[in-house]
Order: sequence, then C-alpha cells, then structure tokens
Amino acid sequence: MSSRLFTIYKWSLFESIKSRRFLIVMVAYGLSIVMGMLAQGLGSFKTTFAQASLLLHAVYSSGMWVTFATVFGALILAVDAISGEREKRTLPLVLSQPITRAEFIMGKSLAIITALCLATITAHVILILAAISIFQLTPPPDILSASLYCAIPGLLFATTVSSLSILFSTLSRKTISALMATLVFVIAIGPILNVCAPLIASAIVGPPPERPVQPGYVVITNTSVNVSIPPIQPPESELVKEWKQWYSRYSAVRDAISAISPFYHAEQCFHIVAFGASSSIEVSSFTEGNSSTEVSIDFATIIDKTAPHLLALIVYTVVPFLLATVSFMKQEEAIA
Amino acid sequence: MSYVVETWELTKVFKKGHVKAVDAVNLRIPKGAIYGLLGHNGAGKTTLLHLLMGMLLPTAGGGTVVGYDMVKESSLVRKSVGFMPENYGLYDYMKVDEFLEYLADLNGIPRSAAKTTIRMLLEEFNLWDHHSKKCGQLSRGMRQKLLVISMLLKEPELLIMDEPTLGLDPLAAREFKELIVRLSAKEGKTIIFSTHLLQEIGGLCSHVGIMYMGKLLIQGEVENIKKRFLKKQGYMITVEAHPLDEAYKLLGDQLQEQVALNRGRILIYAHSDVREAIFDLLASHGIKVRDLHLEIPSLEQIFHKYYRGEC
Ligand SMILES: Nc1ncnc2c1ncn2[C@@H]1O[C@H](COP(=O)(O)OP(=O)(O)OP(=O)(O)O)[C@@H](O)[C@H]1O
Ligand SMILES: [Mg+2]
Repeated sequence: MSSRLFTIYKWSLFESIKSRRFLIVMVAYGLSIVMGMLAQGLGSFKTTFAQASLLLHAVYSSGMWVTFATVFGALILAVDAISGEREKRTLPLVLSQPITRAEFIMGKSLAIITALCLATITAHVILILAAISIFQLTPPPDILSASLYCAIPGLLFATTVSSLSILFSTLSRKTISALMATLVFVIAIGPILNVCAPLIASAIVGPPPERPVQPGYVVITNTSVNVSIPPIQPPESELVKEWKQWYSRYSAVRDAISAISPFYHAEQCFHIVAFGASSSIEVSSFTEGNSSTEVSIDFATIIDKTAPHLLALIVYTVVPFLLATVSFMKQEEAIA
Repeated sequence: MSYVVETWELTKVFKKGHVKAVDAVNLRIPKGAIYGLLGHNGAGKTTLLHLLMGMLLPTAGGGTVVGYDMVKESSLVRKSVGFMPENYGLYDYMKVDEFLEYLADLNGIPRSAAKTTIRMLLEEFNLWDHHSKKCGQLSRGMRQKLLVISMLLKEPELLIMDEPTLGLDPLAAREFKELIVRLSAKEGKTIIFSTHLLQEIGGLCSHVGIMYMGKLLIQGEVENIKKRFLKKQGYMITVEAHPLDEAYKLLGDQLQEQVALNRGRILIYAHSDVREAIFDLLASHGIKVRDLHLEIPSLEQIFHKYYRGEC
C-alpha cells in the first residue's frame, strides 16, 4: 500500500514542480508579498525597528494578499487533479495498473498539496532574502524560526484551499465546472460570509442600544497581544455597560458565524502573527529607545493564540481530503 | 479445460441511470485464444473489460482472471494482465520514456531493469527515435504502439485491449494484426479485444463473443459458431454447371430443397450440407460441374443476423 502510494506521490509531485504552473504560482506569491510589503510602506520603517518583526509584520499584516495568492495557486495546481484526468481520458490507463483508487487519489492529492506548500515556502524565503539585501537589514538571530513559524498559518491555509479544490475536482466531470464550483464556494465562504456575518449576528442579537457618547473611550475589539500601554478607563455609565453587553454578545455570534470559514481562521492567524510581531516592536522601542538589537518575538503568546485557528485549518484540510478520497473510491467511471 | 478468464453471471448495474451495462455474463476464455468481443456502441464491452480488470466492482456475480479472483485479488490481476484502454488516453505532458518509466514504477519493476526493457521495446516498435518526445506529440498509430509497449512491460500472459484499432489507417491496422498473431503464436499469450470493426480484425479471432445490450448472446470458437449458425439458418450452396437449364430442372425435380437460378448460377437453400448428393446427381446425368460450394457466412453476417434478432 504505502510504497505504491509513494510512487504516485513522487511522480505527481515531480510533474507539478516541473510544470510551468508551479512557476506561475511562485510569481503570484512573490507579487502578493511585495504588494503586502508596499502596502505597509516598508521603506519608511527602515532600520528603526527590529528587522525580523518588521518583515513578518509587513508580510502578514497584509494577509489578504497572501490569501489571494494561495487561492490562486490552489486553483492553478489542484483544480484539474481528477477532472483533468477524466477529460484527457487517462484514468482507465492508470487505474488498470496495480494500484487502488484510494492510493491514486491520496498520493496525487498529497503531491499537489506539497507542491503548493513548496511554492509558498520558496516564495517566502526568496522574498525575505531579497528584502534583507535590498533594505540592508541585519537579520536578527531568530529570523529563521520566526519566519518558519509564521509561515505555518499560510501553509495550512494553502493545504485547506488545495484540499477543497481537489474535492471539487473529484466531483466534477469537467475542469471548468470544478473551477467554477471552487470559485463560487470560496467566494461564498470568503467575502460573502464576511459581509453577511455581522448582518446575521445583529439580526440574531437584536439592534444595538443607544450608543454612549464618551469622548476618548477606546473599545478594544481585537486584543491579540498584551499591549503594555494601559487603556484609559473612564467611569462607566449604565449606558456604557448596556452597550458593552450588547457588543460582547453580538461579537460572539458574529465570530461564531465567521468561524465556519477557513478564511476567518487564516486571517485571525495572520493578524495574530503580524500584531504579535509589531507589538514586540513597540515594546522594545519604548523600553530601549532606538536600540533594536535585543528584540525577540513573543512566540508563546502567538502559539497560544493561533493554536485553535490552526486546528480549525487542519480540520478544513483533512475533511475535504477524506471526502474526495471516499467519493473517488465510490465513483464508477467506465466511459470517462 | 483451463480458462484464463471465467465469469459467473457477472452483472454490472450503473446506479446513475439504472443501466444494466453487463447482464449475467458467463465468459469462458481458454488459454491461448484470440478472443474478439463484438458489440455495437453501448453494448457493454468497455464495462465488461473494466470489470475483468477490477477497475469496477460488479453488482452481482464474479469470476477469475488468470487464476485470481476478480474482486478480492484485483490488484494481482492488474499486476499480471496488460490492459489497453479505449481512446489512447496518455499523459500528454510526459516524455515517452518517462511515461513508460512511470508505468514500470507503478508495477514495481526495478528502475534499471525497466530502463533496459523500455529501450528494447521502443526499438522493437520503431519508437526509439521518439523516446524524448512528449506523448502529446505522437500520432494515433504511435500512441497505440506506446500503449502496447506499456502492456508488454508487465510481461503479461493475458492482454486485454479495448477497441485497439479504432481510427488507425489500414497499414497500421495490418501491422497490429501481425503483432497479435505473433504474440499469440510465438509467445502463447491469450488476447482479448473488443471491436466493432469486423472486417479489420474479425479474421484474427479464434474465439468470439457477441454482446447485445449487456448480454453475451453467443460465444465460442469461430468455427463452431459458424457451424451452429449454418444449422440454424440453413445451408446455401452455389452450383455452376453445364448445361445450366438441364441441371436446374434436374435439381428442382429431384432435391427436396429450395432451388433458384441467379445470374448463370444455381442457388440451393438446404437444411443440411447436401453437396455430395448434388454432385452425385449431376454427375449421374452426365452434367459437368464447374463449381460447387457452400457459402460460409462471415462473422459480420452472423453478427448482423444476431443483431436483427434473426437468430
Ligand atoms: N459510468 C457510467 N455511469 C452510467 N452509465 C454508464 C457508465 N459507463 C457506461 N455506462 C452505460 O453502460 C452501457 C455500456 O457502456 P460501455 O461503455 O460499456 O459500452 P461499449 O460497448 O464499450 O460501447 P462503445 O462501443 O461505444 O465503446 C451504456 O449504456 C453506457 O451508457
Ligand atoms: Mg467501449
């Protein structure tokens, strides 16, 4: 079993990496990361802050771009996994060899997922190195582990989206329909859910009470990291209490709805990583003035906070993967 | 008698559309046979062949292929039987030798052994010059040869081919025929192929099975099938004799069979092979017999008769 699965895996991976698509995906990643860096105005940071933090912040605070590139890459590499074989009528040939359907689809899916991950990692490494040399940053000692850890959410998001594409590819007769189905699904659980979640949440929780007018009051809705500046706490009126209660219920429902989507979990991770990095920048710049050499990122917090989201992404990878496998095993293709 | 392929009431119903693609088929394919599976489009040939390879699970029934259980030991079947799918689907982005190495790898053939075998086979089939081309650049004939090579890599005792000559030019089809004969006669391989091009390769078969709407209407040795067909359909005997009119009159009077005159020949529709009686009768009346023969039906004629339900 395992050796034949490995044979399929090896050949499919080899083919994926050799193909032109792989290059296209790398370029897309590269562009997305450059866009992210530009969006953050990398030039203006220069060497003021800790370089490792800076880079990670630049890359991941624009999670949208990485998300974009990942979806693009998954579509390009994975969406014709099975439907393409059907269209080119190669399935009867490969299935008449001494392998099982399960071995075939699992080997192939794992290869595609690996290819996408390789594209992600390679693009990251190249760009980080490029940024270091262009901006003449001195990489801090933990740059490698930092980048690796921070790449994990990106990688898991990549496995999620490719696993989904493979599922749609398995269920479709034509690649174009697999492509459309994946796109529609991705848009539905991405932007559409994003817009709908607050609407649905306020419909469930009811309209907000009258909003308290409190100049200088700060509502911290997303406290990913402990910010060391203590927020100014004005005395709370009844109105404020009421409003806060409503808000906490509302945001709980909204987040619960958003949690359906793997995009939400990926974005949360990107956010945590990016702000985890930037908060350590701020802490260090407050405490040590201009010195930036001693800075390191607070990994414990980042790991703690990202863990549930990473777990969700793993579930989102494994479930479509298994569904695709089972459905392919049950399919009957004599004419395809 | 030992059969290479034997099935019992093999049945496949596709859930989608509730098509009974293969309906209680009892195949018996003896060792060394060249077995032609004949049938119109949609008769269920491809489905039957896929069932034999264990690529589909039967709805009912079962069977053995080269001694292995079709369902429980399907991996072993696929390891020891060469299969050529219809339509010549190849991995177009792979190079020819890469493609063969891939298949060898899937069959667990060690890399170095595979390389020498591949080179040998490519040379034998005059494809060595194209070994570094992409499969997508090959002509139909070359694709077919490449698939034949991919089967031979496994050194199988049984080869199963689904419409192996579809779309080939007459020259390539003839080459293919010669190959089949060679594989069968020299190497003793058993060969099964499906086709609806009877003129092309019908003549090759030692055995045939005729499928209609999922059912195997008839199967067996070609000679036996022809004999059975004659018994059922009657014998048509053509006679050329001199003087013609006299002979016609004589036969019409003396034989208890239907006699007709057609373009200078006498046609006799008989219930049995009465050639000897005819010859004796004519000779005893001093009539010269120039030609006397039994019309042997071609496979094609038999096929069409079965199809129209005339059998
Ligand atoms: N995967 C499938 N799902 C549903 N029905 C199928 C499937 N494959 C084949 N069929 C049906 O089963 C019947 C037999 O098809 P099959 O392909 O075996 O015929 P065939 O004899 O090989 O025909 P052809 O000469 O056109 O290749 C047809 O009616 C076909 O529509
Ligand atoms: Mg067919």
